[in-house]
Amino acid sequence: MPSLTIDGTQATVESGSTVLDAAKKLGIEIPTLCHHEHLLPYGACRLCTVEITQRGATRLQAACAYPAEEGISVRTNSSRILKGRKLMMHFLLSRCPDVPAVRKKAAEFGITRPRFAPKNEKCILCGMCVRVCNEVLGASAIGFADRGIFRRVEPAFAQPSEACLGCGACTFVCPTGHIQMESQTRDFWRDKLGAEQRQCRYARMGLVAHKVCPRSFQCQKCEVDQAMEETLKTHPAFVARPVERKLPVTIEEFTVMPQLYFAKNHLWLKRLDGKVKVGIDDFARKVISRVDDIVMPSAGDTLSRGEAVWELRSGGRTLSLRTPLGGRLIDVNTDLLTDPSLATKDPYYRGWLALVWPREEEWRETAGRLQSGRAAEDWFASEAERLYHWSEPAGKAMAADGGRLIPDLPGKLSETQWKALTGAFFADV
Amino acid sequence: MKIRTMNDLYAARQAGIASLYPAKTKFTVSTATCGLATGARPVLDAVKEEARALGADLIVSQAGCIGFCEVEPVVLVYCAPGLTLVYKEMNAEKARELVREIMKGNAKSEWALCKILVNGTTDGKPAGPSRETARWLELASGIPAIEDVGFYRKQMKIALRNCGFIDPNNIEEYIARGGYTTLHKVLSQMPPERVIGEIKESGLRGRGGAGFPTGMKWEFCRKAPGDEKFIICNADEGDPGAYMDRSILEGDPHSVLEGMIMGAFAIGASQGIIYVRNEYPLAIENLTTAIRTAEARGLLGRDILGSGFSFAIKLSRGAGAFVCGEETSLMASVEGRTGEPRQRPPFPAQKGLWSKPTNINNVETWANVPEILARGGKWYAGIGSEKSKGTKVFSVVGKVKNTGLVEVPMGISLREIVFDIGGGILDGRKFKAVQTGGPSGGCIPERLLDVPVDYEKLTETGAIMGSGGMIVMDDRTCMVDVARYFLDFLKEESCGKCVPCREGIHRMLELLENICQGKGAEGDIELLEDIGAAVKDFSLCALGGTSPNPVLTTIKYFRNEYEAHIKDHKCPAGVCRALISYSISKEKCTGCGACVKVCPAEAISGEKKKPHALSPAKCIKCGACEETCKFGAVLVT
Ligand SMILES: Cc1cc2nc3c(=O)[nH]c(=O)nc-3n(C[C@H](O)[C@H](O)[C@H](O)COP(=O)(O)O)c2cc1C
Ligand code: SF4
Ligand code: SF4
Ligand code: FES
Repeated sequence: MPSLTIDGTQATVESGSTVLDAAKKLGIEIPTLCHHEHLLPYGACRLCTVEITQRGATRLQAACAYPAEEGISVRTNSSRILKGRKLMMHFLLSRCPDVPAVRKKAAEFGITRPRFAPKNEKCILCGMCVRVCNEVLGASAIGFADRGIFRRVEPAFAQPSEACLGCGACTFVCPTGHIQMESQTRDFWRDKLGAEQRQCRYARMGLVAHKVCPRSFQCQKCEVDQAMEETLKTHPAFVARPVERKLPVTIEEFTVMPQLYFAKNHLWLKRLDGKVKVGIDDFARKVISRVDDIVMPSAGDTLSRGEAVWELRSGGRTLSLRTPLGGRLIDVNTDLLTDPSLATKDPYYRGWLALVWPREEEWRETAGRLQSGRAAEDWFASEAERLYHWSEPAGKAMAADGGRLIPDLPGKLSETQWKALTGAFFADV
Repeated sequence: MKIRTMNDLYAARQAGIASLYPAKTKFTVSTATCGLATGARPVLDAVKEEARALGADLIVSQAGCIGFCEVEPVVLVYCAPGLTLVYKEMNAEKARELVREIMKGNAKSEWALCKILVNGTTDGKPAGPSRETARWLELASGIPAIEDVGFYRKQMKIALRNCGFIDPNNIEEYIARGGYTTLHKVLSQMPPERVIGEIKESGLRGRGGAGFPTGMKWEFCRKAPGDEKFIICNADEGDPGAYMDRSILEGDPHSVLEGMIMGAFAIGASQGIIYVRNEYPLAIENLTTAIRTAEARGLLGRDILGSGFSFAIKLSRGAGAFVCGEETSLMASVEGRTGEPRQRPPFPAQKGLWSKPTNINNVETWANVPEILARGGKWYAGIGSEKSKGTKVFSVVGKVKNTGLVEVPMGISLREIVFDIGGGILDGRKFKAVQTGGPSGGCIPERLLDVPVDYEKLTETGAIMGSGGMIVMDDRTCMVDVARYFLDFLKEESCGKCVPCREGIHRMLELLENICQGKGAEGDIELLEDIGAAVKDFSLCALGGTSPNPVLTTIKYFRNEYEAHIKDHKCPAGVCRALISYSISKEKCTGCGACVKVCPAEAISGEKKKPHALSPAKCIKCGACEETCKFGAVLVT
């Protein structure tokens, strides 16, 4: 646990804390505008700038993003800082002179009138909407466009994106009221979908299982919705998936990615506007240890569900994998051809196998069999259990210390044992 | 054939020597981007055609840029063992004639820039001078030696050691000049810690701008926990007008590859990435060839030089935004995310590309590495000033006589660069300022010209070393306009993420535009200083952090010019259109009428041979009359 000094007072905080967290713990107030406790550090408004002295050098840094490191000394209120913060506030008020939240914040700095030629913007570009959509919901339906003074949040609000869940978390976090996409998105969904396909926003957020909205997305008329909002006292998005849960979780020794779907044969799937990326999960990676050769279908092929299409080779053993999803194979990861070990080095990112374009019905049918979120974690736990206790015929070889998988399994099992193992864990889709 | 042993390297080197210093006459045309822009392609074609027409037994090859871009297209003629003659300002016609003359045994001294004599030994260098050499030296006696040409006299080539002298697509020529030989030594005899030790001892600092000690950076990355690490070469080079990195990549790509392999070995990385801007097609082409050849020869990829060490390099193309050169946004861009900077720490050495420990260095930094390891850290540390070691490449542009790429030992003064190497100011004008450090660098005035090229000393002036852009300005430059110009560039390049940079640049620009239009107000200068200080302090990345430099240094050194704009509504340099007016001097005007013809607004009238008059009401202040008048009769006030 690192300990540091803030304005002369010593504080010991949990590792992983930021300077802002530490200051809060000491009751020292630092102004913030783009910080949100459930979102990752961002550092855009710079109102929280403080002086940090480390190994004799003093630099100005954003408290909300700077890690509380051992031995640093922080000053939160030198005249240099106060002067700079005030100017930042001037910049913001001159940008958004009519936004109540900005005026209120400016008033805290004793600023009542814009100092520069006033603009008529509503958005302070704090990025909360984009971040909640991206980090918490994993939907990435909105982002920033353009650079510098022309930067803005997109997509154009009149054109909701298909990736949008209509959950309204962006509206909820926006401090200025600039984002007003909720109702329009709902209209979009309502017009687009038949009555029986209108999925409740809680279902889309992954909070409840499939639930069809009986009210044409008029959430304000829905008792469940109203009750939810009241009891939660925050946006359901944060309750369903607080940001900690969005980080990878380790189940036994296996890393589970929160935003991915998992198939029974230990492949992950990720939907990217209609297309689906596929790769091996951490369970498969640990079992196969290190891929040294790979056989893949070519881009352009049509895959049908259950077809055996990939062969991963490791130390003379082969793991054959079926595709859990049918569709056109529109891209394969050619990096694997030069470096097959990428599949095991970085299975969730650069080691992906294929990009498949399924028809909508195909995806819906497949999606029903996949696991994600908490269900996936439970499933990983049971798979781990099953593996550690899988006594026949190779139990001894695997139950190394405390149930951990011993390294280089393919090299240690006989051909028969390997066949039995892959049959038990990788055959089913 | 793969190179695995010292003997294999030796064989490759012999082949390289044979093509570098052949027994026949060799014509080499500099066909880097800068050469091609001035017409090197037709020159190359002409040399080939003429050789064919004459049935002459000569070799025609291509190379990168020798730095003196002002006098391109350049042709190098290797005419006798150890002797190369360099010809400047070629065109197709001159090139044809040159081929004829050389084959006749004429040195064509009046077209030559200089001669280069290499006193070779037999090992790795051309054979010593022969009688043929003596004969040609006699013929070329009127041509100055390269050491005596002002542009080159004070230069010292380390990073650019091979540029312009080897065929970038011929790996053997690189090996002939010592390339990959040191790599063999490193992989077979030096433990990684010693490699890092040498780099630390050399005092090499990052050439990409910030000047962080390279050896220390490598050490952090080596010590960072992680089973997979990355090496990145930053070849984004977004500074407008700067092309040091491009020239190295085009003229000597293997020096960068070799440096990266050495770095990877020292750090324990298995994958390297060169992030190169898409606007550099020739650099990409030459790099691609170099990577492929190095792989084919076993110098890159699995089991390099039979040492068991494996390392692969991939190219990643930059999207062209200036901010993508910043290391954290560069890595975001490689990962396929928006190129936006993020908070450091975590530094790349802790959490870089794909969250793995990553070491990122600039092209020029990498190109220095093989030479340092070949000659030792101590040798390198012997060059330069106390805290800035070695050499630095600058692209000198603007109002100097000799524009081009220069590599100088650290510690040399700016005055020497501008006046001795650069040859002084064009058209006999007066020097006013030199801007170092690219768009967010600072302007240094005449009285500080003796400041040495040194990271700390340049920072003290308010400017920065930056990556090597250097713009020389003469007395016709308005410093307020200069500040406005650079901020206008930065306005479009700020990513817009953080408030100080996005809003601050915008507001400073607003003020500067007003001042240039004569709408400046009392207190504007102080406000600019306040904004500048806060933007420097509060910005998230160095783009914002350095963006006020052009404003703050011009205020610091040319405050009276700002005051003239604001208080007297005058632009002393005669640049800001809103603040100047044109008139015609009765005394000087000869009534030739030249100005009447060029004035697009028909604002000038007068009888032939009598003084003309200019109507201020009609004048649109385009300045065409002033440019045209041979008698200096058009006055700007
Ligand atoms: C706005 C901005 C642009 C930059 N552009 C470049 C660039 O084009 N090339 C480069 O090597 N470094 C550039 N840098 C510096 C890099 O962030 C980084 O410090 C450098 O690549 C490290 O290599 P070095 O230690 O060898 O200099 C830039 C930095 C900033 C803030
Ligand atoms: S729309 Fe709102 S939440 Fe999004 S960046 Fe703008 S002010 Fe922040
Ligand atoms: S300083 Fe400028 S370029 Fe850097 S993060 Fe901030 S807005 Fe982006
Ligand atoms: S709250 Fe830290 S930068 Fe905005």
